[in-house]
Amino acid sequence: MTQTVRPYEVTFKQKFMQKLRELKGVLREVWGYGTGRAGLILLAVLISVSIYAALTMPPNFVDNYWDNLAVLVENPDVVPPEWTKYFGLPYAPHVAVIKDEPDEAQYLARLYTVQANYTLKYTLEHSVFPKGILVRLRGILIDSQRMQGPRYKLFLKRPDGITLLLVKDVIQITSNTSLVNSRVYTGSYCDILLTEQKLNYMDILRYLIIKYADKEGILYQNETTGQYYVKLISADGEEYNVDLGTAISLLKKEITLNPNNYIFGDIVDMKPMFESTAEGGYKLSGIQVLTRPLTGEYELTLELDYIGIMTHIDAKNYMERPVLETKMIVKGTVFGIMGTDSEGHDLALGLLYGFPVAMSIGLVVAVITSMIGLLVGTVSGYYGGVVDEVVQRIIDVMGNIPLLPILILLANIVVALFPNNPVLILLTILLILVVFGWGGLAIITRSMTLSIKEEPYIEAAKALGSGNRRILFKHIVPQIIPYIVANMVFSVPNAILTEAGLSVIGIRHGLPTWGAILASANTPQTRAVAMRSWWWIIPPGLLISITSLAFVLLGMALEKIVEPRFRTA
Amino acid sequence: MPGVGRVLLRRAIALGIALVLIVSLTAIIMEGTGYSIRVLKAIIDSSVRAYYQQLRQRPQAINQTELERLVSEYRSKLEEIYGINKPWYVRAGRLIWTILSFDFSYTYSDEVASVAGLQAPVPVSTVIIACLPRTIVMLTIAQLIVVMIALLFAPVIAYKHGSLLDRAVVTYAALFNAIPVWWLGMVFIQLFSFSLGIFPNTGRPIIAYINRFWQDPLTNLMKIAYHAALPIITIVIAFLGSWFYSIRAMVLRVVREDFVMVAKAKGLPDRLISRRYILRVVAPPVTTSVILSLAYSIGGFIITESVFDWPGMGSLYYAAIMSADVATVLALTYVTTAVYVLARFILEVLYIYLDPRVRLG
Repeated sequence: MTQTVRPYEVTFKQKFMQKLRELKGVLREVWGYGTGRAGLILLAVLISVSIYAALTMPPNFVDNYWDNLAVLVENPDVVPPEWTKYFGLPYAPHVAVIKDEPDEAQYLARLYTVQANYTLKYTLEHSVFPKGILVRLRGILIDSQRMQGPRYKLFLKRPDGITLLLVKDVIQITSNTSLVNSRVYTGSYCDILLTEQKLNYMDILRYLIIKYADKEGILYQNETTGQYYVKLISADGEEYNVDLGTAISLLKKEITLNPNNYIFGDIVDMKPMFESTAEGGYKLSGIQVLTRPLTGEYELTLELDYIGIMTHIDAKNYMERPVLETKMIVKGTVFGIMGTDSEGHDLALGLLYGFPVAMSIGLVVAVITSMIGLLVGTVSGYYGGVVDEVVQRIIDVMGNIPLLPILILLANIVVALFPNNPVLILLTILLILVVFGWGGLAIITRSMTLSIKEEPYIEAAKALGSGNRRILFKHIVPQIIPYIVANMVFSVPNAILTEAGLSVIGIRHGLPTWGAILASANTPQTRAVAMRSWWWIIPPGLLISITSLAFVLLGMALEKIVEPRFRTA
Repeated sequence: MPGVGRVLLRRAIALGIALVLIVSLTAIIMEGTGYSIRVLKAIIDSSVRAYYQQLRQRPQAINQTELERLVSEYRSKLEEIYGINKPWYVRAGRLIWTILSFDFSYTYSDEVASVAGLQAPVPVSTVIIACLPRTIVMLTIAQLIVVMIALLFAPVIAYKHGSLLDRAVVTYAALFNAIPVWWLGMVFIQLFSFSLGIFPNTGRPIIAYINRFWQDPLTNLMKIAYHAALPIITIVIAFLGSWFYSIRAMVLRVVREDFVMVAKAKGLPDRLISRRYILRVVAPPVTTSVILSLAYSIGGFIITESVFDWPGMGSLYYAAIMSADVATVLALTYVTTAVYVLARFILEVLYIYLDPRVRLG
């Protein structure tokens, strides 16, 4: 059976191939200019990264990852990228390990207790304090008879051989539970942190102070009471005896505020501070402490205890898998590919997912704006009269509007009108950019239409009986299109920069954008910190600039093609 | 030239209408969307609460119904004063009328007043007059510097198009067309203020220097220059590229014209060609850019000023928008648009001298 090709298919195919050839020709011409080549290469890279990001972006990225406090608390705040360590700066590594099963589990029959241990080894090579410790237990096995969770203890074994008990408590059971392998687990997660209330500061301080005092030879024992005291020398060189209990209570605030500087370090200096009393004397008001990181091998151990387990058979149940997923984290001073900001955002994610947002904003606004500008400009130029007058006046008004303030005002209103709807807010901002963006282009197309309209071939077309619409779209628009394309490419950066600018001064639509990262660096609270953190400021701005640059370069090449007078080489 | 007068009059009327329309549009946006009313309601709520507490603390006891009557009376009185019991178009209409008759009223917003360095209930005109010179010493001066450098060098570069210098300038222009000025500002602040400590990291202190400028003009001038230096350098670096590029493009268009070729073929000296043949044609569009950019700078750059912590017109605008201070937003829109419209009109007048086609119709 022979296939007959219907004629319209041929024409369509031919037309399509012809258009493709034309596009190829234009691309080759653009490629011929240095700027065009650079622009095309950059654009190809940007588009591929955008597509990759758009495809891999998890659903509801902002709520589930970007602004999810549970994720943010896992990350250290304001630390540079991981790779900066290769430049030789001292750092504390970031270590995060996920465990399904305990490293060690045993049944202490005499105590009727099941003990499960999870251990993380951590090596501190440089003299830098890590940023914190976090253990996250997701899905904890519940003792279903007594309806209670296990007790836990978190230990840190230090390079000096001593093991500090950091926190201990009972895991609270939440009401929602889930059944895995016919065992009852808690549904939510539980974070073990060195919080002010839970930190076992007394033992830690006692150990550190005694170690320091012993080394310095200033540790004494009261012979009658048996209490220890240390002989401290104040800044004025006066000796002062402080008993251990007082020293610990004076340092409580200090250690609970910044536990990492103690548990990962040694005291190297202690000085008493005094304040004058009402009676004219002096009294001890505080102790100034200097700690230095202790380098070497650490071991962080979480011990879970199920108490009241009577039989070995029961115990087996608890020893196998007491927690579905245990995440042990020692937060370092370097993190990820691009570092973090003050809230702990993994900037690499924000930068990656900013790609599709920026590209689509730029392209959508540029394309729609150009199309409106083209249509309005040609219609207004071709028909003239009342239509032209009205359009001209509208453009006049728009040309005089203080654009950015009005944009900010409108964006502000939009954000207030549709809270928690990032896509709608973004679309409205795009709409505003389009509404205020087409004026300049309409002026150009109008003046071009005016001159084309007087050409003899238009008159000829008219004489042949062509309708207005046919003349407009067959004879006038095709001639203007090259200029429109060049202009459109030039206007992409405009939209990208304007959107980024709106983000920077606080118009948040809620999607991760490069502008939003810069915005978080420019608030009164973060400014001082952010301005000392290059990884927070440079990469997002650089990406905005590179994206814009791709279109600027492309636009310059196209400009040379459509406007031969610009060809200089 | 009777035609010229009529043209100017028509333009003046059109620009005037544009000004009125823009102010009206802003008022309608703010009132029609309920943007202004949110803040007013909050103000009224807090004063009603204060009034309630005051009544409760009176020595002679008031019974509950009497108390409620007094409170609701007070509330409706306040609503009457603030005008929120009226429909939005009535409020917008009143707003437009007062602003167009140059009655700028008061700002009650602490944020707005603090940008100006003043205390809250203060006339809007005072606030604007306080902020205007700060924007002029930074933005307008920066623009002037950019314009002067560009006008001095761009024509020369365009004339030598294709040379190494020309290519360097085009590359520079492409680069800085893509880099947002406010980000460059952030980078410079990071580098020169926080890391190297050469420049201050905030523009706030200039409030004091400008306020008591005449006590010690020389020192204050130095201090202002010290604080404005980094923003000015940033703006000049960021804007110079696009100025070079656009002036170069304007000149290039003319350089390739036939009449310039003819002049060259005739063997006229370059200097004469550029002055008599090129400059004349390029003058109107260049003048347009220069005057409009200067007029535009007076309205302040919101983002750049925010980055440099500069208490100018842009910061004022921003504070007003963010605290929904309708009076200030409208007054600023009116003033900045009026300056811009005025600049457009001045341009129309200048065209008469610069472009013979306008003069001779």
